[in-house]
Amino acid sequence: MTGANRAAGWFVVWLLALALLYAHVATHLRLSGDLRLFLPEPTTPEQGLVLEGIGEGPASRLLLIALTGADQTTLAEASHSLIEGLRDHPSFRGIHNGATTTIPEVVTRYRYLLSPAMDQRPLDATTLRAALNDRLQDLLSPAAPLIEPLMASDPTLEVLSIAESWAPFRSPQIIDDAWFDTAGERALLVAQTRAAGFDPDGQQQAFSALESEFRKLAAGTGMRMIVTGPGRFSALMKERTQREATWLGSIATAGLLLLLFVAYRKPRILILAALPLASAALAGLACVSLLYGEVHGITLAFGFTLIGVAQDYPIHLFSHQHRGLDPFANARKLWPTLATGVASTCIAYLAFLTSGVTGLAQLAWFTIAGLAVAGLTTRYLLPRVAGGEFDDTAEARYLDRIETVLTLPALRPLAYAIAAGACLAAIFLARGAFWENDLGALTPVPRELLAEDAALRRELGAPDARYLAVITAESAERALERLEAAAPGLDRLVAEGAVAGVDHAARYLPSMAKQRQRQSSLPDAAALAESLKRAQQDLPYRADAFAPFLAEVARARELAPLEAGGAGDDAMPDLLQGLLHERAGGWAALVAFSGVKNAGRLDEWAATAGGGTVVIDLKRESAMLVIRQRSRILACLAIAALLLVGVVRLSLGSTLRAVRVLAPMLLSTLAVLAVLRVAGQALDLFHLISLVLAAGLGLDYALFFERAGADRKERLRTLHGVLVCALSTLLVFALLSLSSIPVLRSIGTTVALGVFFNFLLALSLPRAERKHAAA
Amino acid sequence: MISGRFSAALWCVTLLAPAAAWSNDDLDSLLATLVREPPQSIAFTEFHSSALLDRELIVSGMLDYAGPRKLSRIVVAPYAERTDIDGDDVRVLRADRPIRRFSLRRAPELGGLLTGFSALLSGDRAALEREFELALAQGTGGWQLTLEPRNARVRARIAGIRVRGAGDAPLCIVTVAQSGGRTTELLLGNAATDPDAAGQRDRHCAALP
Repeated sequence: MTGANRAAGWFVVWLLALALLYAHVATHLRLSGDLRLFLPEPTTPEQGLVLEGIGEGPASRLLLIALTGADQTTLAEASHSLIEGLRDHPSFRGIHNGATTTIPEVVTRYRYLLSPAMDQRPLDATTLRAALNDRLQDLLSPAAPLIEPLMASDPTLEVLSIAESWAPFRSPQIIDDAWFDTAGERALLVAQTRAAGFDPDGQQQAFSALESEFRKLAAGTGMRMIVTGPGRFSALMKERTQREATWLGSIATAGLLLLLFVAYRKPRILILAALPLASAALAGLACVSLLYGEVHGITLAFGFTLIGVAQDYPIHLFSHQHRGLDPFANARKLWPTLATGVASTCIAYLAFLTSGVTGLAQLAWFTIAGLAVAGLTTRYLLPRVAGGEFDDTAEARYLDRIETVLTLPALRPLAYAIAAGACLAAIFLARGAFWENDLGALTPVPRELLAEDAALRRELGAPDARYLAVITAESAERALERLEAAAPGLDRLVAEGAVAGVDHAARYLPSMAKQRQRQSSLPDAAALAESLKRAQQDLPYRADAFAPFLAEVARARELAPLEAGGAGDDAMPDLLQGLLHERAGGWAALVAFSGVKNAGRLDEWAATAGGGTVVIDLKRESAMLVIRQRSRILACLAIAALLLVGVVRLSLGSTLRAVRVLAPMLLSTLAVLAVLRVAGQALDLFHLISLVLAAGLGLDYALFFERAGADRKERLRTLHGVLVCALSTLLVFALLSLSSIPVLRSIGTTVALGVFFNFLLALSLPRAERKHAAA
Repeated sequence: MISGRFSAALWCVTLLAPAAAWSNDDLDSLLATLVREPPQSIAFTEFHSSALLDRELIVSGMLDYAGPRKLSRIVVAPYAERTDIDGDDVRVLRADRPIRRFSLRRAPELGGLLTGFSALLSGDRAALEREFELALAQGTGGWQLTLEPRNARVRARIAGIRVRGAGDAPLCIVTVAQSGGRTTELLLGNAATDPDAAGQRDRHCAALP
């Protein structure tokens, strides 16, 4: 009775401790969604720009929108209404559909300083005469209602020529004042989100805003909206990962509970078995919270997968528990083996601490802290609460039968060597790339949506997010001046057909020098009035028809030039923000290219464009980042492997025993690699993490089998424990391998394969031991 | 008592009925006389005035009517220009200029005019009444049909359209914009080709008293 009371007391204390930890974590830990936590620290300026580009660049914030499924007029109306509804929405920096009405007031006010047409002709009598003649025809044409309102203050239609020069690289056709695709079936819009491309929550908010606005417009019309772009993809990825993780997790949990119940026939055990795992999760979170203050969503998702190993610890304890054995004594007996397993797994994860990737370091801390706490609680706390009756698993009759079935011929060293050789041959001779260097290959975005994105990008001439040139300068003004100097060279690239189009900040905001130059060429009030008078001669305009124009030009002469980073009424449209930004030690101006046909010409252009101009192939640079990150992790893993061998050797006290424990794990790892390679999988970071996880599990199995030695009952209990562990792990990861998300699939397949091979190979150990003992 | 009140009401109805029925019939019969089988070509002369202009501008050419909501406006003088309207789609073609393409809905002045014109030629009273409030007046010089836009967006741009004609021929369509002092007077048929177009305009385009 007192024993049971004491157990209940400890149980309550444990739960309270968990509750306190949970309260701490819940109040202190912030969740981050920035994928760059999982990208390596850049070492070169180019790599720095790649990372900036991935999250912040002009291309990453663009959402491409298509409206379809109705007649042109309805689509165009919807396109205009969508802009109207979202104009001041906090999720968007801007949303455009080519309509002239979306020109901001600041642009109208500064038109004589911003318009590129001002460089081609002075505002003199000849220019004005030609313009007034053209306007006369406009007035008489059916287009008059569209143009007449602009005429009095802007007879040269400067605002329209700015709008034309701002249109995307290759302007889509305009129907009803809105962009349409070539077939005229889809109205096109481009939105720039305030949230970075890789902020799935911010992107989701933006998408929801779009959708709710669209739903109001589309009610009863059968109209559909398609939204693509990096931001849409990251939101989609998060949503899908969450959804799949939730249902896979639910099935896995149900399966796990069923398995534990079948294995132990005691509901009490289900709760007790969960305690070390819960402690591991909370300890891991507390550790990350203490060290970083925030945790990435991916760390959480993977971390929980990785510390699933901790579930094995109580299983070993319960499988070895039987009548007449004090739980404490049981735990003490198992501890050397358990501790070796925990320590070696932790060592493997130490490798990720030095990877130079914040997300991976978080993951490592989370797992190490979690596993250590799970091991310690299994050793010191679980026996205190695990009072009551236990069946001796060794007496279960089904176990006998299983043992007979699972008795495999022991593998001799020669067989090991041959198997290893075969695996190595398969690994290195298999066709296809060994490593996956393309970050994009991991995208869970549906193929159709990617195709839509490519199609919309072509129609809108949006930058293709691969080639980028960067011009750095000490100030924004200098950067703009250098862009202006580079512009003729860029125009030549377009004219030659090397690229379809270019985009850069100076297209929208001329340097202040350029603005002043245009300003100084504006005629004074008297001269302009004189020119206008001459231009109006014999034309049927009223003498004072263009008084507003005279006033506007006079005002333009007094304006302070627009600056990058101007605020309030003088803020330039947000178009600019992704293209020109301040960074450590200066400013960076980006030149985005679309439809690159000849990348070699870009490099030639950069060479002539002067110092500080680099052309970046984002695909190549990100591949290099991935390669560098991987070689660093591989080096760390090699060191960790050596450490691990040392720990196992030290713990077992014999080289022979250490070799026997390590050999199945090593062969399993090779076998998994061989299967993946033969299946044509290129390996990525997630395969590596999963291999480490599988190796840690395999080492546990081997350690326990090795420990069981020749005693039959002890061997049966070990078999029970390892079997439950292996089955539960296999269940979880086999489910993951069914996922439609590449990352989850590669983790699932790798670990499931690893568990399978490790279990089979570890089974060969008891017999070997028996033989060894008999000999 | 009941029959007394009833007979009074009946009196009112019979008093009003002839006037209402007469105007209604008249509108129907007028519309019937205006119907033309497509294709039709009608000469036009258009007088434009605007707050920006100190005198009116005149263009002339042909209107080609190819069926309901299908119309071309071909300017011959003082310059060459062709506007094709098909449904809501408007294309303006002018020598050495890119095609200007827009929707009738974005140019309600033109839209109203053309809906009116094409509905008149096809005798589609329902189409006319969907877009406009109609009122018919008769005078010594002929008839006058005023069209007041029902749609608020269109009404914000056009004050109204007035069609004047005599017998089975429309003679002039006047469109008055809400702001900017824009009016367009479109003289049609023989009146448009008269050497004294301005005189014809004064005669046929002014509102009936």
